[in-house]
Amino acid sequence: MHSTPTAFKAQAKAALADPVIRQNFRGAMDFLRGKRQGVFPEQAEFKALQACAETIKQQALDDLPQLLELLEQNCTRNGIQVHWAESAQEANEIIDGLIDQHDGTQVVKGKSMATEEIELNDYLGARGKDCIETDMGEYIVQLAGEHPSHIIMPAIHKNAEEIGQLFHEKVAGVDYTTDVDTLINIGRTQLRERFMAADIGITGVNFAVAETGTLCLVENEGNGRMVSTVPSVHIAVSGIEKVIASLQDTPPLLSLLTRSATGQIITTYFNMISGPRGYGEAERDGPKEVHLVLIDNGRTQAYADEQFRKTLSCIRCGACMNHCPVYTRIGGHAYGTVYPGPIGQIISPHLLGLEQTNDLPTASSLCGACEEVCPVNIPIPNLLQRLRRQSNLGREASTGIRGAGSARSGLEALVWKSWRWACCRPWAYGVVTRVVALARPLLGLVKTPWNKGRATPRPAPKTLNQLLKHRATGSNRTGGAHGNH
Amino acid sequence: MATTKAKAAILNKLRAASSGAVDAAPVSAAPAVPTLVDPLEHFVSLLKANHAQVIQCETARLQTVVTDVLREQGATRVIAAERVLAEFPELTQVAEPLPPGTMEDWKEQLFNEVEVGITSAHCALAATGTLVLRPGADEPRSLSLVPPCHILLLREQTLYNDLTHAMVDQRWAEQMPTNMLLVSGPSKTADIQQTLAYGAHGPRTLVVIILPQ
Amino acid sequence: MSLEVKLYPSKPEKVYLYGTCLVNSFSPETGLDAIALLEAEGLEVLYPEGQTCCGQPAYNAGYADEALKVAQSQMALFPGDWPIVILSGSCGGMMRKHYRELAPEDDQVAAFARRIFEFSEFLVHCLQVQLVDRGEPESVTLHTSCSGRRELGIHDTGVALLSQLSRVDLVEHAYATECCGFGGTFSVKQADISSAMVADKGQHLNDTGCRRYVSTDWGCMLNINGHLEYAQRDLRGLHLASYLRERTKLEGAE
Repeated sequence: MHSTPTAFKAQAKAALADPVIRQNFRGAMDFLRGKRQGVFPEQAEFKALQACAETIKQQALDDLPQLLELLEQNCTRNGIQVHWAESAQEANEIIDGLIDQHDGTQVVKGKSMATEEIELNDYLGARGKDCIETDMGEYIVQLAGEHPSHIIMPAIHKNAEEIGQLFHEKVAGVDYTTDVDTLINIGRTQLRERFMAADIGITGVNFAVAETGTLCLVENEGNGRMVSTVPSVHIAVSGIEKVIASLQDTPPLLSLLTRSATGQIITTYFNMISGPRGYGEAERDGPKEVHLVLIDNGRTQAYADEQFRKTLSCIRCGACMNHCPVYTRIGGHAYGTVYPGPIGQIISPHLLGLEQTNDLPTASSLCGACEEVCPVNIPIPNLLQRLRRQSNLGREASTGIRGAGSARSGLEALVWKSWRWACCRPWAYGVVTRVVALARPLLGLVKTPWNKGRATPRPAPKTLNQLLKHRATGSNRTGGAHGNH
Repeated sequence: MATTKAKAAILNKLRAASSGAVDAAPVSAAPAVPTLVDPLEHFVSLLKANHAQVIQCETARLQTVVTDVLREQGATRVIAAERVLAEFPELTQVAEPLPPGTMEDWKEQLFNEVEVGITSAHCALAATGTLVLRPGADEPRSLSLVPPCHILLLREQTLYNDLTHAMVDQRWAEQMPTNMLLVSGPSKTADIQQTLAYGAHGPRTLVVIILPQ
Repeated sequence: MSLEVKLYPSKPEKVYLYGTCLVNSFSPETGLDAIALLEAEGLEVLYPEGQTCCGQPAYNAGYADEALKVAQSQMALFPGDWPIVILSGSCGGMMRKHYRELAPEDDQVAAFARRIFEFSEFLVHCLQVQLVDRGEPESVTLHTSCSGRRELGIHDTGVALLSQLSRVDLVEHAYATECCGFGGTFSVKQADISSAMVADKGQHLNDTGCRRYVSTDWGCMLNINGHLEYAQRDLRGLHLASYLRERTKLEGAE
């Protein structure tokens, strides 16, 4: 089951009709919202921290080319080898090449959305290389042959019963249980074998500090540490936007990330990696090589536009999806994209082009809950509106977003043109509204998508404009037929 | 090389898009983490809330305390970092150093036999209930990760208010070690139906022993 | 989000009323009730002819040019320097926030935007009304539109007004901050999702046991009432202006 953004509506409809999906997501989102609320008791403190984080990320983006070069310089000095990839394909080739170069046979991976984005597992799988997911959620999702439904909690769409059943079917010698400690212990036992035997470890990056050449990983489980400590080669995969200027930028970003994501004031582990084993002193463990793969994959397209550049501030906390009334109801798989929810709706068009993702910008009531909780203040509703314009118009195609204008419908454009024509001519508008009012007994007969679960509203017999026609306007202009444009 | 070409292409696109005139607005300073009235108490209560065992003891009693913990854990194979054994030689009574060589030589023992790893904390952060580890030649990274029980020794005077204080005061940015790690509890996960479970991949048990001056 | 600090003028002599397209067609009595309340405060209410729509539907659908043309035609109706009171949070958000995005360089648009006040906001912050409750004891619940809450930052003014009513018990419903699922064209383009959202909203409002709910947005109310009618529930919504007029038993001007 591979969902796609082109089948968004059908996937959403199927998810809405699935009571287990509905319940799993509602429960999980309620939990995460509650947790977040608990660690941001003061709105003022959140606002202050948010302003700081927004500035840090904004400045890092303004200086992005310089910072990337500085990052490379300092990583190289620290013994971390830096690779650059313009596309997913290039990134996969680099990683595959590194594995071959070390005759790697056992690859373990920590949770990383960047590697989901480039579909690394599929790429390596097609070349006969197994890449084992080690984050518990990712492990579950991989066992089930699925993809993550949430960027922080990959298996959030499954409940304990479903996971118990999955383990029973897929892991040899495991009886069905719903006891979470037992299930986690099964995963632990299975994966420890893998950590011990692995020769290549792959992780993502939460922050890449240019000043010190440091790769920061945020996690609770310890699998990220395993993957970046035990195998002799560690490959970190990062979007180019993860770079920040200085080490002192990390405390506010870390605090916002963990509080926004899971409602923790800090995660169990914050791992700062600034080099391979023994680069400085004679260490006895740690990877002998550390590689950093920097990925563009559509990010420079977003960067080129001042408004869309804001999407690159994202620190991948998932708060926008946790608070989204649409995501809460349809879950992550319905979007058919690696990044679901509000942030996915504004990132995916850059990764995949608007032809494939036209439905995503429309899948929002623009309620603003996402923007309200975003720790770096990304104006998601505004960007969704902008994407709607991009997909409707040829006019703005010059900004270079792939597939601009691809959702343009001649009929819809005509509807809005006619609407404008009437709205700019009060006499015409008056005629239309009066005709609609007269036709009120007939309106119930017309069935539109609105009528999915809703009765047709009934216009009043007389409009407010009619009732107040005699009222003084307080101006010498009356609109009327002169108000045309 | 493909990656050189990619680098040039990426940087060119970014430079072409950069407005050039980067406005030099100062980074709005991070709001200061409130200074804690009783940092030690705060630190201990957060660690406990995060499921760590916390023991405060006189240095003279360290060996007894560690022995008690080991008995509770039913541990027989206990490894302490050389750094720890050098500072607290009395612990050689209850813990052994790692075998010689590098990880490749003792990885299987570490995974399959060692029940407890004892390491030191470089410093700690009160605001978040966090220990800062600074692994090195005499304290491998994996010793605080692989054994199911991790005992951490902390000197009380190294307790900072928060992360920013520690990194500024100790000038981390001037020379970061290959690895530096913040630990705020035993390994955990909530990936199954938001139910918290400890000991996901790292230590199930974290014991923090706080020693005075 | 970057909410500007809103400056509230003291009580003016006159105000403009912007009825909104939904009030115009679906609930003209909301407009009459609002006028009665404003006049009871001693204001002269100007209702310029030629009001059509604020342009929000086109703006949200991604037709900015169309929205701008309509916005210009509406702005021209309010030449005097009086505050403009709007009977909807989402139209208010459009006129205060998005008009400026449509014409970012235009100072006149910015000046116009500063004169925009949502009805409950105007009553609380500019008029500081003191309401006298003359109705029977009743429990009621309030649905605040997302635009009112998040674009205008006025989630508390509806509460402030209802709390003045001594015999009204204001009950908060579950997920009060969650969207009702209207979202303009969203309700048609993504009708399945939208109707799932409104079904939940209807359930949560209904669970309060109240007979009526109050809102300041006819967009949300067409959606929610449409669902409640479809689901054959007795609960119905009415606009805050109508509710306040009913409770205070003001005689109307019309």
